[in-house]
Amino acid sequence: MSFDELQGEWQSHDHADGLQRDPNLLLDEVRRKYDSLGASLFRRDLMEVIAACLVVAFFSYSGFVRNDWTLLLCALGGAFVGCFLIVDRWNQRRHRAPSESSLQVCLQADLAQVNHQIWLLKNIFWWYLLPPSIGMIAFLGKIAWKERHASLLRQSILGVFVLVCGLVFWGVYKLNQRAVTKTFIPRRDELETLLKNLERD
Amino acid sequence: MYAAIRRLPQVDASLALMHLDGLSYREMSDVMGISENYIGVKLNRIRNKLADELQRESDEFR
Repeated sequence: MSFDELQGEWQSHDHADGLQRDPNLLLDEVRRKYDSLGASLFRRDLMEVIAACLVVAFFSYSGFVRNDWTLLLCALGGAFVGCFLIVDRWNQRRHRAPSESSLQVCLQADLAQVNHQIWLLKNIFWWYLLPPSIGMIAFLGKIAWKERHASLLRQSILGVFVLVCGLVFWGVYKLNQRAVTKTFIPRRDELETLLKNLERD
Repeated sequence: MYAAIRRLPQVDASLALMHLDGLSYREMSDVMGISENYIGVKLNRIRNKLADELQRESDEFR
C-alpha cells in the first residue's frame, strides 16, 4: 500500500483506538509545559521579592531603632536578593515566546528558560545565600563578641542558633541543586532532543 | 500503522499525523517553524521509514 493510499485510509477512519489526531498536539504540549514552568517561576520570584521586602522592612526598622549596623547589613542583603530577582526577570522577558509562535520558537524559548534556571540555581550561593549571610555573620559575630564572657548556657544557645542558621542555608542550597538535577536537567535533555529532531536528522 | 507512528521520534510522529490529516506543507511549516523545503525532506524520510516498518511487519505476518 502506498503512502497516498494510507493517507486516504487514515482520513476515512474514525481513530477511536487511541492515537490522537490533533496536528498541534506536540506544539500544544510543549507550550503547556513552557507556560506552566513560566507561571511557577513567576510565583516563586513574586514570593521571593515579597519575602525580600519584608526582610528589608524588618531589618531596616530594627537596625535604625537599635542603631545596629549589622542589622542594616542584613537589610542590604535582602534588598540585593529582591533587586537581583527583579532585574533578572526584566532581562529574561525578551526571551519569551509569543503566544502564537511555532514549535521551533517555543522549544528555543523553553530551552533558554530552562538553561537560565539551571545557571541561576547552580549559582544560588552567590546571589541568594551569600548576600544575607554577610549581614547574618556580622550580626552573630557581634553578639558572640558581646557574649564572650557570658555563661556557658548563653554561649550554647548562640552556638545552636548559628548551627540552625547554617543548616537552613545548607538545606536551601541542597534543595535547589536537587531541583537542577531532578527537574531542569531532564527537561533540558528532552527539549534538546526535540529541537535536534526538528532541526536536523 | 498506529504502532509504527508511535515508534517514531515525537517530532516525526507529529509531522506524520499532520501529513496523514492532509495539512499542506505551508500549514506544517507554520506550526513547526521550519521551511517548507525541509518539511518535504523530513516527510520523505518519514514516509520511507514508515513504509519500511509496514513492509517488515507484513513480511513477518506472512
